[in-house]
Formats: sequence, C-alpha cells, structure tokens
Amino acid sequence: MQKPNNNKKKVLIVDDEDDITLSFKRILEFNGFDVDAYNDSTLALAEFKKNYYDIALIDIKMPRLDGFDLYKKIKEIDNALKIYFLTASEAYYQQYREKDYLKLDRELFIQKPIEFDELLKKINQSD
Amino acid sequence: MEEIGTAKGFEESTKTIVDFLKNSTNNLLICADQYWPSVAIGIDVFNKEMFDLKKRNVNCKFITEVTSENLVFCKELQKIADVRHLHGLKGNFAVNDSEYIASATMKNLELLSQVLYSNSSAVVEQHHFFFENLWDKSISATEKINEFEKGILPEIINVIKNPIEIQRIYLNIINSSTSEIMLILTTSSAFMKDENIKINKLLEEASDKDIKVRIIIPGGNKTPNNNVDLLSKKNNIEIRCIESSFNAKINILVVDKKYSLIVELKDDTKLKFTDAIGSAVYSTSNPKVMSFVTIFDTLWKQTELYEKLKDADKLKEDYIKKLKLADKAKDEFVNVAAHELRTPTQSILNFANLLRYDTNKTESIDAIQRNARRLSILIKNILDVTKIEGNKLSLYKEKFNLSDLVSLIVKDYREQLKKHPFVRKHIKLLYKLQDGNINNINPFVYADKERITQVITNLLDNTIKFTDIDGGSITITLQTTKSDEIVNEGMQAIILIKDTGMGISEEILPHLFTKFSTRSFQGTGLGLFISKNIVEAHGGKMFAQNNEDGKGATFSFSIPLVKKDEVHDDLEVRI
Repeated sequence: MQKPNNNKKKVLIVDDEDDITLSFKRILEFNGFDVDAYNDSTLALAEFKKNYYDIALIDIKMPRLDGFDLYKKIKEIDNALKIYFLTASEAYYQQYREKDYLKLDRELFIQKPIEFDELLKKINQSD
Repeated sequence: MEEIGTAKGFEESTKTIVDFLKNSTNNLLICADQYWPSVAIGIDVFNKEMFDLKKRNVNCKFITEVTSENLVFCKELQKIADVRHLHGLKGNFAVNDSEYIASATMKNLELLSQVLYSNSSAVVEQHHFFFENLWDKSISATEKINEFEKGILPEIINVIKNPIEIQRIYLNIINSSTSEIMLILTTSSAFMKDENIKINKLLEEASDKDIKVRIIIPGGNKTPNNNVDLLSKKNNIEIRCIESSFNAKINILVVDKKYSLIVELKDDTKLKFTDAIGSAVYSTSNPKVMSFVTIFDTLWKQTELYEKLKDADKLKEDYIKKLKLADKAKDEFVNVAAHELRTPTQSILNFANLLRYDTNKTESIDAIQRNARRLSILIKNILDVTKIEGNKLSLYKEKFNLSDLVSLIVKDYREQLKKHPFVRKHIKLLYKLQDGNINNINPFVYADKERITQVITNLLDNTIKFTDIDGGSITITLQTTKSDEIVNEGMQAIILIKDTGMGISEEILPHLFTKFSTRSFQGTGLGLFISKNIVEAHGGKMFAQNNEDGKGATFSFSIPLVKKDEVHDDLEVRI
C-alpha cells in the first residue's frame, strides 16, 4: 500500500482495551495524526494489508493473537514499519527477554502509563 | 596275678561293679556319661554301694555330664563326693587304687550288660592319668546345677557349618520364643524368600502368641518382597528399614534376649535358605547375646532417626514447594495487579489530556469516571482478599427484598450499557422472576446489601466481558428452591446469571473460584474468589458451569431466605 498523498502520519493502534484505543485515537487525531484503532488484533491484521501506516502501537497481552505474533505477521507484510509495544505488563517484557526470539530493542517497549508528550517524542523520533 | 576280662550279662556285670566298689578302700575315680548318675543312684544295688563308699570315707571323685534330666541324681552324687561336669562327655570308666572297670554303653536307669575289668597296674595308672586330665577340663557340677535350677542357660558358643543344622536351630529358637524376637536382615535375604522354611509362618505364629517381633531390613522405602509386606500388617510385628548402605553380610537373630544366631550369607542371590548361607555362630552366652541386643537396639533407634529425617526432609521439601508456589502466585499477582493498575491509569491520563481540546467533554469525563471506578474496584478487591484471608471481613446485615435489589442493579446496568461508548449496547440484559410469581414468595434475605450487590455486579461484569458484543444476551433469574435441592437448611433464593459468551475453559473451571484465577486477558482473578467467600459467609453456595447448549456459561449463587415478618436486627458480623 502506498503512502497517501497528505502530510498526516498514519498510526495503527491495536489494544484489547476499548478506552485505551479510543483515547489514543482521539488524542493523536487532535495532534494531527491519522489513526486506525482496533480492539481485535486478528481484525487489525486482516485490515492491515489495505492500509499504509507510518507507525504502529500494539499491546502485547491480547486474546487470540498476542502482540508478539501480530508483530511477526506485520513484519512479514511490511518489514520497514516501525512497531512499538505499548504494554502495561513489565512481565511481558521480561518474558520476551528470556525468549529473545524477536531480537527487539528495549526502546521499542513503551510502558503504560505514558504521558502523551513523551509518547509524541517517541513517535517523532521514528522519522 | 594280673587279670583282664569281660563280664557279660546283667548279673555278672552287676556283680563285677559291686565287687569293684566294695574293693575301693582309699581312692575311687569315676568318669561316666550323662546316664551314669541315674544308674549309680537310681538302681538300688548300686545306690547302697555308693553311699557305703561315703561311710567308709573313701576318697571319691566323679566326672559326668550334668543335664536337666539327671539333675536329681547328680545332686545325690554330690553327697558322696566331689562331682564335676564335662560337656558332651562320652565313654565310661572307673578306677580305684588297684582295679579298673569300663563300659562302652550306658542307658538311663538300666543295669549294665557288659563290663570290662582289669587289675593291671599299667591300665590303672593310665586311667588315673586320663581321669586327672579330664578333671582339669571339667567344671564344678554345682555351677552347672545352678544354671538349670536358676534358669541360667549354659553358656554355649557353637560354630555351626552344616546349613541344615543352622536351619534347624534357626527355626527352633524362633519357635521356642516366649517374649521377643529381634531379626536383622542386612540384605533382601533368602531368609524371607524361601517358602520352604516357613519363617514367615513362625513369625506370624509368634505374633499371635503376643510375642513382640521386630525386624530390620535394608533398603530405604522399599520392602524386599511381598512376604515382608504381609508380615508388616500383623499385630506385634514391626518392620523398619535401614539405609541400604549398611553393607554387612550377616543376619542376626536374637530370641528372648537369651539366644543369638548370627548367620553368614554366602550367596544372597540363592532362593533357598540352605544354599544362601555360610557358617553360623549360635550362642547363649549372656555377654554375647546382649551385645547383639545392643547392636539391634542401636540400629532400631537409627531407623527411627532415619524415618524422622526422611519425614523432616519431606516436610522441608513440601514447605519449600509451597513457598515457591506462594512466591510464584505472589509474583503473578503483582504482575497482574500492576497491569490492572496501569491500564486504567493510562486511559485516565489520556482522557484528562483530551479534556484540553475536546468539545465532547462528557465522553472524556465518563471515561475518566469509568476507569477511576475500575481502579477503585481493584483496590477494594485487594483489600477484600486481605480481609478474607485474615478473617476480618465484616458483614453489615439487614433484612431486604432481594428482588428489589436485583431489579435496581439490572436497571442500572441497562443504563450503563446504553451509555457505554462501545458496541456493548447490543447486549440484551434480561431479568426473570421464577414463574413470574416471585413477589408471592417474598424473597427477603438477611444479608449485607452492599456485599450482595458486589457479588451480583461482579458476576454481571464478568458475563458482560465474555458475552458476544453483537447480539449476545445475559439472563438473570431469581428463583427459590427447597432445601434439598441446593443446601441443607431452609428455603434458599437462587440467582442465576446466564450468558451466551465464550464459556469457561476446561483448564480454568476446576480452580475458577481460587485466587488469581482469571479466564480473561483483563482482570486480576480476585472477583470470583471474593464473591464466593461473601456468599459462603451468608450461608450460601456458589456455582459455575458451561451451558448445556454449548454456548456461554451460567454462574449462580444461593442465599438463605427469611420470612417477611421475621424480626432481624441490623447487625455487624465478622467472618
């Protein structure tokens, strides 16, 4: 999918918590982003191919398809996409460290709760 | 003139002996086997001559074998002369100053049928010499008589090499036991394997006679065979295991603290007793037997310590296991709780931020309220669990109509579902009263209204979480039941909450009501644990099952009903 011809960055948010996806979608939109938000990771993956994203913020602990598996599937489609894990669980990061199968940088893990300004910095760094 | 001859027949033999005795004037030495005392004292003709010797002050010395049978005769002989005992004495001869007589055989209380006679000074001299030698080797008859009379056993120490003889003694001493048997089997031995020698049967018989049987066997927890297993079930038989590192190749049997038999094992692989054993030492010597008793007692105590040590090790292991489990559960809980604290906090931060720009402030305020409430519930749940576990949960009981409460909660939830910003407004929430006549039944309960509300809302929140967002339904039913249908006492109100969601996984079902057990990707797994405890504190029960039609699950709980006019004071109850 080609980048749409506007200046807006497009963000994909996947989190099984309704209020998390809704609030991030709203707040990012107010800050000039174009946002697609999904509570269902399998639906997010199915819709992924139809869209172009500059950045993805995905939760890890989700039913059916967890964040790590979603990451792998997305990377198979778009290896260049910058994907952040937005997780409320420190344990998940530790678990990932033990497995070490994705070879991910620590900086890709964003710990909830995060102040929006800080998140914005992270997103803008990814240019 | 020197004569050597043989007297044959009872008459001639008796005459030869009597003449010999009469001829004895200064010294008389008699050395004869265990039957001789009965002949010398028990047969009148000889008895008279024997006591005449004393009257004539003949210097007499007798050697014989004192046994329990000839004890009486030996004591009579002691009145005549100094008597000494020689164990296992064979052969019979007597010498005075000038004559010698001998007899090859002698029988209890019978006249002799053949006697050798000689007055050869050489023969007499030789037999004086033999006699003195034997005299030195013998022991005082008094000592021996005392052993019998005071029950003191003769101190025997025999080395036995014949396996059949060993087996005979082995079984005999077990059979003769009157008080206790101690047996140390240092290997999983043929002693217990060989059916032919019937050792088990003898030990069982001993136990039936109230004889205390204690057996030490090798091998930690393992019993060597079924025979031992069966024996251990008998009264009076106690079998203990000793570490298999105890590597001695002897078996020790001690009976009544009087007899010991130490059997060397030659080849323990052999199944037959007589093939497996080497030589044995049989002893009645008190110091020896008591040494083995001490060895037995020491090992017995060691087995006690060994058992205690094993128990202590097991306790320690169990304790460590429990600690590890508790530690793991605590870690999991901390992780889950952290997750559950961070998620709504993130939403609150975001919606608070949105208030700055968003014109639709109601949405943000509602969301902040929703998430703050979620945090509040989490904190309350954690505190409730602490209270439940410390038995400090208080109930503020009052009498109220359960149907009114459920109606109120349902109304509130319908509102909430309508207001919900997400698709859950499609979930239908139905409330059914049993047969439509619950009002006639008056479902009054005496309970903590807030806590019962907590249980119902917890169950509703769970079902909403697991019910399909499109077209799912939740049905609450309030009914009453007779006592035998659900609990043993009185009428019960039952609230059933049935959903059409994903159901409960088989994996989680058995421990659904335990702490930290969660079937969702959200939640701490505390709600059901708390709810069940609240219900049980009210004298009710809580159940969960998947629906028979395969779609969704039903949670239910019971609570005792009270009569409408029954008087109950509002009361604080600590559970």
